[in-house]
Amino acid sequence: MRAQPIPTQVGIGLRPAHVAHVLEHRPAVPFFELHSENLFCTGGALWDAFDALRRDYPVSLHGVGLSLGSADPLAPAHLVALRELLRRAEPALVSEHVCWAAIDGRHYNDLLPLPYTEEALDLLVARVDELQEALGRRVLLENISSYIHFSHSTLGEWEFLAALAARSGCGLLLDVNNVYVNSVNHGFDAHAFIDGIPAAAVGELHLAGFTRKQGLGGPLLIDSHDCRVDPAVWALYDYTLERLGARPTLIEWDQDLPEFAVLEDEARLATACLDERGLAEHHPDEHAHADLAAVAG
Amino acid sequence: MPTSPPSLAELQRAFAGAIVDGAAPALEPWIAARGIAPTARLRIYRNANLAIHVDALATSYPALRRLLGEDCFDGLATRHAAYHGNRSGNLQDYGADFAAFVVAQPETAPWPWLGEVARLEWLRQEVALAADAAPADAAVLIAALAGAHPALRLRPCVRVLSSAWAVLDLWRHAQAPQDDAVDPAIPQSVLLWREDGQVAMRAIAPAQAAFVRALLHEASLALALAAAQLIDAQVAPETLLLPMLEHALLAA
Repeated sequence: MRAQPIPTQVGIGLRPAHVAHVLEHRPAVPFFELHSENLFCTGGALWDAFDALRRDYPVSLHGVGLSLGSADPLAPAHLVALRELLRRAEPALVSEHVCWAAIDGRHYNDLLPLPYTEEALDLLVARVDELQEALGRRVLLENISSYIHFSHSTLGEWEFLAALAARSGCGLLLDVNNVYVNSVNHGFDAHAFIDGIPAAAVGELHLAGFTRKQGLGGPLLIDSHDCRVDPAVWALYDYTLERLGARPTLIEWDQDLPEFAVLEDEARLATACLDERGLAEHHPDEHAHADLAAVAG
Repeated sequence: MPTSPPSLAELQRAFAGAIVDGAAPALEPWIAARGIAPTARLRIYRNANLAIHVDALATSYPALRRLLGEDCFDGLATRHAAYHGNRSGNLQDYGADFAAFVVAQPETAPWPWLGEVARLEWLRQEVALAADAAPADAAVLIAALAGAHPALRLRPCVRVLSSAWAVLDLWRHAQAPQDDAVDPAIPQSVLLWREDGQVAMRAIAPAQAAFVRALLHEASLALALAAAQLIDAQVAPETLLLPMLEHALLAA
């Protein structure tokens, strides 16, 4: 089955609890994104659902467990499982995170922050090279939210991402919510972050909800993915569209999952942002086509 | 403040120490505070790590959680998450050793059968995630039996558990408690497989369990029959083979 390209519209992150609803009602969603590791099994009900899903919808796969920035080597079994998954699923886009998650063989199954140093950049560039070589395609790397900034960082986060894309040839998945969360948590200008991202590298945008953590003595936002997108993030999304142009955008919601209709509401809001700027592309323009083709490898 | 910053590997080891033990004195000088103590920032990751792994265990072991009660289960799961952790980037792999861990904990000593319920739940997860394989029909069985060295191959989703306890009755009781109490001290063997995408289970005779277990270890048909007849000398081959066809357990 050939992969259907991801349109420059607003998709929804599909979690197992919503799969039955989607297969029964076939909502008008331009694309779905699934976590790669949920499909590391090689059979069963989830694969039956996935096979049914991709007959009708473009699909992207989003990894959460490769630990690209770890001082440990990449886990060969994880890499093989991902390669086999892509061979079978043929997703239009593949993405992972700019983070680490494992050290000395123990995995913490979280997206942990890197120091933005030349050492971390060199390692991540090498790992992304290894990944893209193993998969035989370009991947998108997503900026994470974080609650710690390492004071020995020598690069801004956006400089780190831009250098990673330039040196490894990977694309970027820009999570606008994470940019906002980090701007509050670490005290930088979110617009300067967006301005520092090379537009041509960005293949997808993410939107999600955060919560405010009180009582710590300073401002801290948690990237909780358990509520609607905050108005401040909608404003930053609007700025991002102005700055970067139209990109496929995804609504993510992972905890305390609401009815699927709530996610569709959020997707409609994002679509309205695209429409307002005259950017919603039911037939992506030449520029978007070129970018997506490059990203999809 | 130390004069030279940690290498990436040193930083990650110290960070991992904070997740496991709650403290990373060598790392804290390199964490920007901005009004929030570095220990408080690290604690966010420690708490998230415990929550991620406790949730994963709760997902894999729902019956055990009902039998133990949420507070007791979450306490055991938190201890497991803190001291054992995961070796895989795939959270679905986490918790294979939880049954052995549960049995070894002092809280569960009065109920030695809890570990067996946990083993059954992990097998249910293996069955749910096993590779697809087309089932064989009677013609395959007949052809296999006609060969010089008959062998049968089971679908990847087939599992068997032989327990000294009434493990299936206990699992069912956890799903839907009945007025009649379950007598746990009755040995029970359970066959598990996948049917229409769902995990199916039934109690089977010990000889049948020995037969299936032998086939899972790729024994020849003759050896699998011999394993069954060591337990029940009178068991007939057709008795052992019938469930293979009834539940489509053979791979094409």
